[in-house]
Amino acid sequence: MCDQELLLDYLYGELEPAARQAFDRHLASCGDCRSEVEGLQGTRQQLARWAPPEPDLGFQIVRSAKPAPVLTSSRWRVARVWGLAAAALVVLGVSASLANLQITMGSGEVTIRTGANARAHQAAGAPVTDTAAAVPSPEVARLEARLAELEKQLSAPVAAQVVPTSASGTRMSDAELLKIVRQLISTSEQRQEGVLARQIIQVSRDLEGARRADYARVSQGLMQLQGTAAETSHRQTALEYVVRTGLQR
Amino acid sequence: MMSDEELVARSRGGDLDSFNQLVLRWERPIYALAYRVIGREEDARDVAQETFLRAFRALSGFKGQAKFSSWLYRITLNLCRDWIRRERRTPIAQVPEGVDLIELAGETAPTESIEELVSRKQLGLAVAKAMALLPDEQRTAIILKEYHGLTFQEIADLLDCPLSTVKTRLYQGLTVLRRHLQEAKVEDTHAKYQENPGSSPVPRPASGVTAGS
Repeated sequence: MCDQELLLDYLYGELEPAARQAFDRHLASCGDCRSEVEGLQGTRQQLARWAPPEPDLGFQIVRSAKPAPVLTSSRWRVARVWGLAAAALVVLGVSASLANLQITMGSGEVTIRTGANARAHQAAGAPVTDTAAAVPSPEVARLEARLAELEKQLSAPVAAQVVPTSASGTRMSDAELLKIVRQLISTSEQRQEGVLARQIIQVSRDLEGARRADYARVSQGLMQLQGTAAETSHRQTALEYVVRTGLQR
Repeated sequence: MMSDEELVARSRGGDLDSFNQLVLRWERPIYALAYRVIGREEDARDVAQETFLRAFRALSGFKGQAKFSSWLYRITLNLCRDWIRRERRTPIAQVPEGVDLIELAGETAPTESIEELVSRKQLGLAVAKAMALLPDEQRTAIILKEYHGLTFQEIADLLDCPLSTVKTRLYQGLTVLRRHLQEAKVEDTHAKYQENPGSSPVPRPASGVTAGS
């Protein structure tokens, strides 16, 4: 086989125009190279079909608002040269797929804030009213049990979780930071799950109530209809009698 | 739209927004690189995230000697290498070089051969599986060339190896892939389908093709 490297350059369009034309001329007379180029072009077309799945990205570096004490690690002295450390430590903001989750770390303390937080607290206080007097369906009962479970798990307040940094002030390793972030994300998800479960129960109860009300109305309507039907059939019988007797006369 | 160089300069001056713009600009290619190299979504995502964290922290050391993207790629590839080494050390399976990482990750049915996937027009999966058969170095070289459009020289610089080595790896890798994927050529099935839009295309092997080249 002829010059493999040259063939590759040609294949990937990395030849200068003059060299490319020269190779074109070569291809015209060299069957091996021609079939090689064609074969590899085909493979390249197939390769183009391999796409990664759509990811949920949206990484952003976020600066915490609190001023931080100076850390002794040399990396952070370097950070000061950028003028960043005056503000805070580095923070990693995670994507919006978790509904406004914001994680900040500063002064040896980690806080999370989610959009769902306020709502979660509110829902915890609100009484769940029964719109139906009847016994709730098994589904509702199951959801209630699950909700009670979640509430027990999440009874601790969410305001701040203190993560102690070591006395010498060395910063956490990336692995530890990622671990904390994951835990916080998981906590946030559970809270959202709780809110959702509560909402589902409410909707389910509403539906239950509506269903029963409808059923009552429909039953009543049916009875009325039956009554009317009875009446109608009675009249019809009477009418038939009159017609028959009329005809007989 | 600002160039990478400008954004980097601003970031080094302390402008966080500029760095985040770089993140937005490069997160998809970085994720795509990690995904194709290691074959797992979640882990690729972690690697991508970690890449930007590290880049951010090491920004003062980046003096523009290479392209910013190349620098990012280098960080990503190092992280991928670490990941692969860790995976291979797990006691579950001593996974030797070149073994199907994607199959290991359960992303394809282990019983389906590449030919079957090709004939079912699951070309993406077929390619993924075929790529996973390659030694890491060949796979990496092909990924950088095919999906990130780097020149041979750029790849050589990135992988710290001679230009001819890059080309050799690429050539060998492509040849293996060609052999595995050649059961039904994409162009053939498309052409047939365009002739008779009503019928479903039936792939047939290219005539006169023998296995092994």
